[in-house]
Amino acid sequence: MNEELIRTLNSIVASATPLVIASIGETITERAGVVNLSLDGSIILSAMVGFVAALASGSPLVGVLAAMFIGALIALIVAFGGITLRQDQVAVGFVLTLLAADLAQFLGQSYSRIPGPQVLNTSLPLLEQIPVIGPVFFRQSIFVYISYLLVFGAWYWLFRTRPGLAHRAVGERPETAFARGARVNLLRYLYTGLGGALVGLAGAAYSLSVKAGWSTPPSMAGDGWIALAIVIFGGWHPFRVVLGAYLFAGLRVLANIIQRTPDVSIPVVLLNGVPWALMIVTLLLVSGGTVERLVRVLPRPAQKWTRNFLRSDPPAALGTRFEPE
Amino acid sequence: MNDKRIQHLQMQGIVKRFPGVLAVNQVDFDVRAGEIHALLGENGAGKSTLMKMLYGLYHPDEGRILIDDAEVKIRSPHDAIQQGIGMIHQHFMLVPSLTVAENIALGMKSSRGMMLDLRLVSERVRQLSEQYNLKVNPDVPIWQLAVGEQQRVEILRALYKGAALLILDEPTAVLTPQEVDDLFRILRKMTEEGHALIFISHKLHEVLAISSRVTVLRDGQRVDTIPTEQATKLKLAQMMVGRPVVLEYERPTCRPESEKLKLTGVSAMNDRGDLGLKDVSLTVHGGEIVGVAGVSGNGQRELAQVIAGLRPVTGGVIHIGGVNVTGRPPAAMNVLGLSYIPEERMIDGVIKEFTVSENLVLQDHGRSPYTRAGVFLNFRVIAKTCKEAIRAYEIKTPGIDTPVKSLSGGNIQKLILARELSRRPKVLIAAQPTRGVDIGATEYIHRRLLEERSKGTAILLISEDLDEIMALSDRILVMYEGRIVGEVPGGKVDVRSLGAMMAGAALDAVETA
Repeated sequence: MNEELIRTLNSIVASATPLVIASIGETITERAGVVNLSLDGSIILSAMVGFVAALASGSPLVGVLAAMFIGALIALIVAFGGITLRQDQVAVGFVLTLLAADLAQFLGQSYSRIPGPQVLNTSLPLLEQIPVIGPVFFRQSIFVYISYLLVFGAWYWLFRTRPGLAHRAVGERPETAFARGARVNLLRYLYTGLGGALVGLAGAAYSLSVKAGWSTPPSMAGDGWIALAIVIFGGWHPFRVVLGAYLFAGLRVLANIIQRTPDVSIPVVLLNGVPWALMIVTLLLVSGGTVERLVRVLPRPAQKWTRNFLRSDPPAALGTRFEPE
Repeated sequence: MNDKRIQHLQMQGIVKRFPGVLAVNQVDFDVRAGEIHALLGENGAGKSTLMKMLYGLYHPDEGRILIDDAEVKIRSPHDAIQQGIGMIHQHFMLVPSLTVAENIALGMKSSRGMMLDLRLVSERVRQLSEQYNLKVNPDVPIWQLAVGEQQRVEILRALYKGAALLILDEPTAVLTPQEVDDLFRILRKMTEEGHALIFISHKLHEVLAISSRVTVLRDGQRVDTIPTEQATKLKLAQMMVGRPVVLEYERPTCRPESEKLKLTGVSAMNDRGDLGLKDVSLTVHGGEIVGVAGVSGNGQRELAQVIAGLRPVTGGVIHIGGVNVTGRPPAAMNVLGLSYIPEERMIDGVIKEFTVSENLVLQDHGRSPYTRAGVFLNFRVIAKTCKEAIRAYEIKTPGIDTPVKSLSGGNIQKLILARELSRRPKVLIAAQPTRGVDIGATEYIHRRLLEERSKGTAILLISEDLDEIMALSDRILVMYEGRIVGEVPGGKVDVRSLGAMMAGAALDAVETA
């Protein structure tokens, strides 16, 4: 396989990583029945804080921890508003996303476009030797390796462990989970905080690796919304979520390549818009009755398989409140 | 898992007070291994409260609980389960998207610590389902199961946890007659295996069919405990209500008049966007009650809403009093003399924050005499009419300005009945008119419906309660998967064949079987 293609695939994996981490975080949160809509602002603010903390301390690790703290903090505000204050989670999250993004631009003004620490790629010994797979997946930054662990970890947790079963039950039918001894609201706080910390980690992955540095307006603006869409696209399943993140990042890289090809004259704005448009189309497809209508057009043998693959029911109690008697 | 057996459980002198109410007053109750003890009473008689104390959800203010003559304290459901007491709630505590095995494993210790041991759970479930003849596939998600099967999962769960005593809270409320038979077979098998069962119900014939002893509660007190052989329907009903009751109504012969309601090939979508009502044709004449029987979710809801103008018709024609009303809004139906007692009484029937009087004039507030010049409400007339209605329909309410949400289900239903009947309807759609309503109010509502019938109103009675359908209907239609699959004359009906039709068998198949 040629060098160019491998380099392209490598960059797709790298640029998809913050999306993977953020959407796995959101998957964990939403599987517990809480919708944290503050993702976009949360990523921006934690990217800024992560960069500044790393710059001030000289240690990227401190930056990462600071970013995760910010992400968890914002998520816990959503949980506090939605669970304890009994407000609408969507409204609280939406206001927070605006607030956090503006706060980041305001507080981060003096750090814009200055050089700072960056997490470099470290190849994994042995694994990087595997043909094609090695150079694509194992010559990456530590953030990328963490994202692999997160995807498998989240899947294993949700579908193979006892607390994971309770985690899913809390998002599907909190009354039942409660009757079986789960402390529903405590768990919701926990998974919202955990999910938020991962969103913060995604922010750090931007400002310390993928789009190293900080600038106003922030270069990762909008990606939080994409991550939210990827969770839906991924049917709240870690494996499909990671597929969605790679697909979207792939489309973005493809748009960049076409842009740089001299013979093709497509307006830049249009190309930049393609991934978004595709995202909207896929969202329309996976949600609601559209799938069903499309599936019925297919020949019978293909129907069951397609339906199972595209099955995308959200956690039944998503965004609802639970009050123990 | 424990294999504890309970030979004899006793509750002695149990008292439970809630603010302002004595919910359970000095009640004695006991159950032995190998018997089914029925607990009978109206809504609010204290059955559930008493059993919730046994299951540790409430704590008695006085009295004690003994298991095999040793006093026990049950502080939580966890304690109850430790003692070998299980409870099957009316609303199943299952997660629809999880499989049977996952639901059983939820909240239980795993043999592999943090890791799930679903294979072991499935294996044990198979074993138990064989032992008790409960057919359930452990690897299927709950949402794919019929209601009766879901209930079996609940029973399996209790057995899995080693329940020696099982409390069943109105277990037949959601089942078809066939499913009830299956359940009873399972319950008998369980008593043979030495379990003690408590069967909470308000359905007299089921209590008579399954139990060995009956305890009747009324207003928080124990009326009596008698062996089932000594009980009759009438005797139990009188014990429950505290006065003589009528269980079978006198129905003057039906003198059908002209066609008042006619549906021809009507189809409609359900909420999921599938065809929920398929090519339904029916007629109701003045002075007759046509019953629509069927298991919940087979198109009855759609049928009622389509006639009431609340759901768009996708095919076919509806006539009320000879006028084509297909696709007309509810207001037009009202003018033609349609009254509607909706299934979801708290959503479609009343505005629960509004007062009794506001709800009573909800449909007619724009008409004289309730309004002057078409704009200004005439409160004096409204108050007067409302007071009359409250008296005439025996609605128990503190006053006409009480918000409807603080009334009981039976009284809200009487209020809706008062509103709908006072409009002197030509056609009445009554959907689940007595669901969740106590015997006293049910009896009242039934008498009113029969009175309307004598007045020449055409009544379409849609109900999941077969007793109600059989007691009132002149003709019975059976719905299955959105179609009318059979029609039988009222009066002497064979419950078996009706049940088979409700489960999807065609009429000729039933008759030849």
